[in-house]
Amino acid sequence: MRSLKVVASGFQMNLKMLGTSSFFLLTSIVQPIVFATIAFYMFRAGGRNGTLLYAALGAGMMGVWSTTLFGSGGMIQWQRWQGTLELGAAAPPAMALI
Amino acid sequence: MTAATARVETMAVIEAIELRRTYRTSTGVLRRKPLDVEAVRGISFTVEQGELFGLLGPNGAGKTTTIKMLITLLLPTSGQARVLGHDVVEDAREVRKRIGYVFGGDRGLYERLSARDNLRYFAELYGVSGKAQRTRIDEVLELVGLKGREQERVEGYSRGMRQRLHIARGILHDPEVVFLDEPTIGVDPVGARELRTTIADLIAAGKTVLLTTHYMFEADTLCDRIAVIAKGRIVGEGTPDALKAGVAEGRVTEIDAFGVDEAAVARLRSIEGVTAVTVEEREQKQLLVVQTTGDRELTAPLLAELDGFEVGRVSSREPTLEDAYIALVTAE
Repeated sequence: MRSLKVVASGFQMNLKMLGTSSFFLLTSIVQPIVFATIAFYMFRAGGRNGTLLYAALGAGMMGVWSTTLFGSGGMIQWQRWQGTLELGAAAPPAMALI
Repeated sequence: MTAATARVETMAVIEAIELRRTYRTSTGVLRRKPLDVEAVRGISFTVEQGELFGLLGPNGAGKTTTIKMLITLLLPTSGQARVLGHDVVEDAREVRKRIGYVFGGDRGLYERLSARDNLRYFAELYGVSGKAQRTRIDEVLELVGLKGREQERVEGYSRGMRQRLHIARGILHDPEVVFLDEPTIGVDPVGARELRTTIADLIAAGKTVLLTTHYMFEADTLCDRIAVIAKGRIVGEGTPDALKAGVAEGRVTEIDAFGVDEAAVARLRSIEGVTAVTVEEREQKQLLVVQTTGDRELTAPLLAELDGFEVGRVSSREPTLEDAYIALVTAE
């Protein structure tokens, strides 16, 4: 229960932090749209009927996943620079929960 | 009083026994050569319950490395350390629950969040339960003087306010031991005085505090005992008065001078009876602080060695804690 609370509070805190970054919000919306649009036009030009929707959806998901990866990696790096990562490491809960 | 109670009361809260820490790094780009840097070279000290213990030393002396080993952030290369009887390696979790750690400077806070959000997050990490959380956060905000500003984002805070928030975060879970690593660094005199009051309040509340600082006045005012570290070793330990007494038999001569070079400073150091010479650059002029043994008058030989340089005011005074510190650090 306690572990869940730690994970939930970490999630909430990071969400708040990312929510204040307009750059992150912009990329998390724009990047999937750009990927999906490129895939849409590429597959339409290829003339392969039936695959258009899946290609656009797949590319959009790639965009979402890439934003997630870069966002979370960036958060860890940012916390390291800010000196908050070591405070997390020195806290009682296991590092994996933080 | 039973024997067991007496033993607990006199138990050292922090014990460092022959602590060592070596960092492994490398030099070169293509042909990397491993390099071992000995940051802490076997230091031992104890801090008693309710004591404010100061660690003084120049940059790179090993103060922060020592603190990081005591708060379980770094593993010692050898030696042993215990906090409240718990080994910092074997019982790291127990140690972490019972200590607070505050460091100086701008780092260590979530800038885009408010002070309250910062404190709420750390309250969760330290297991301050939901009901007690709000009350405790209000208490620490009141204690450090940030009440009324807690909803503002930290990025808009002054350095003094950030530092006070650091202290609030460090004592949020009501730890028995607080480690303060240069808490007043870069803070203006008024802010530093307020922080010193907060630190004194911690001691009044029964906490044990380990403080590192560069400011001699601060150490002299606050600390019950001080250890001076230089090049990873403790070179002096005792109460501020005892450390001053170590150089009290000597005299300190201050000489205002202009354009004195290294060779002349070396000549001053070689005079018999001179124990230390430091040069402080003050805009156009230099202030030479010469520590001498008290058994002879050395003003004339000092001025003789400065022949050819422009010399201003010459004065003599009693040694201070800063003089004791300089004598200990430069003797290494």
